[in-house]
Amino acid sequence: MAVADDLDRVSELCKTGAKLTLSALLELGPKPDDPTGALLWEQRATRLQGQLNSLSALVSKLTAAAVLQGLAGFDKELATVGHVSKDAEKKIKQIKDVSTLLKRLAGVLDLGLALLAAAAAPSAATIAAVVKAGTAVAKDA
Amino acid sequence: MKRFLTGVCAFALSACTSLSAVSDVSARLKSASATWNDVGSEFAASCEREATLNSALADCALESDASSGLAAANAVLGNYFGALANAANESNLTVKPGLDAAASSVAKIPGINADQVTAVSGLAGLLVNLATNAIRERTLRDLIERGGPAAQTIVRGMDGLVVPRLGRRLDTERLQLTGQFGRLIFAQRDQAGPDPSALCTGPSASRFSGTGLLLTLEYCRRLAVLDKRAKALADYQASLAVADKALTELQSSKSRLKSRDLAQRLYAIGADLDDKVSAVRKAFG
Repeated sequence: MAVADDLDRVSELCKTGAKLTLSALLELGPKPDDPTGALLWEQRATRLQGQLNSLSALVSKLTAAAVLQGLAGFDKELATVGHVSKDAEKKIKQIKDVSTLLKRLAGVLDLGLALLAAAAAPSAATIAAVVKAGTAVAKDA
Repeated sequence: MKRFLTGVCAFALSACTSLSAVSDVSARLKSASATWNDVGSEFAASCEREATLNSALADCALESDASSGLAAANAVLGNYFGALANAANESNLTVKPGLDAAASSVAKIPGINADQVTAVSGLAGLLVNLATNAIRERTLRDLIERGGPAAQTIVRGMDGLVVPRLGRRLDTERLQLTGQFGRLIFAQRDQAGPDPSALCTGPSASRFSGTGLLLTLEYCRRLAVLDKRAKALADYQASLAVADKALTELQSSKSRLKSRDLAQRLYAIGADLDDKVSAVRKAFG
């Protein structure tokens, strides 16, 4: 965390600098009407705005770098949580797989029974039952 | 309405098993982690908003990396809460539908004694149910025991990682915004005063030049977005604290997850979490 803390400290300094620069900028007040005063105002305002822009950009970059550094400090915990979650989902999937397998078995049994019935007494109804059972098996496969 | 339903659930615990309380709070935690993503993405969003006014920013690559990193961490937490919810949800850890389907098909076989099939499948169902319930509780305990402390460290870490830094980022965006618009309004020879944010309330800007007035309106619009985000940071922090509390409850009660007291506490925590998260969602979503 030390690097992240250092980045935070520098970033805070930049923010304080930005605050002071903004105060100086606002102290300029409205642009004077006389051409010389207006030119001087323009120069000062542009310089202060440039400073403010640079300091604000620095805060943004340093803060983002501090977040990334800070995140790296949680690598171990993130890996642990990730593994534990995967293990649990695997167990849940195994049980779901057993249930799906039983359903498939039921579908195959239904198809076999429908085939036997159709072979013994072929009719529109028994053939339709074969088609229905066959579709169910195909859907589950 | 939500509070009422939670109350009903808490009082009617005979109908809602304590594992359903674990499942409920885990599902809410999963949903909260998705909302925390909106907060994390604000590092990049704030940079992109400022980049329209500040050429010194050049690009927002580093800020985007920070937001992506936080999104990845939230995704890990989201998967963990999802696994907790799945393990606590009975319908995910049961073979009953498959067993019923198989028994019903077997019973149709000609010559089979249907009563015996029903009896045997009922016994098998009971045994399988006992086994799957044991697996379910073991899976949950394992998730809480092995993953709980690490998840809690991350949740607590997110507070320090995000709140002060995003607060600083938003403060600085505000300074830059005020500087930029203050200077532009001054350049119109309009009197923005020492605190241009005061222009957003009261009639001062109505006396400005046309350009000055338009600049003020845009400044106030951008400032309102920033204020909304900054205020929601407190709700984000509170939602992390509630998530931390939920994880503490789960860890301290991992050996009696079906206890009625725990269920009551978890339902209350879940409702609290929802309140905080919805406030964050409104501001960032």
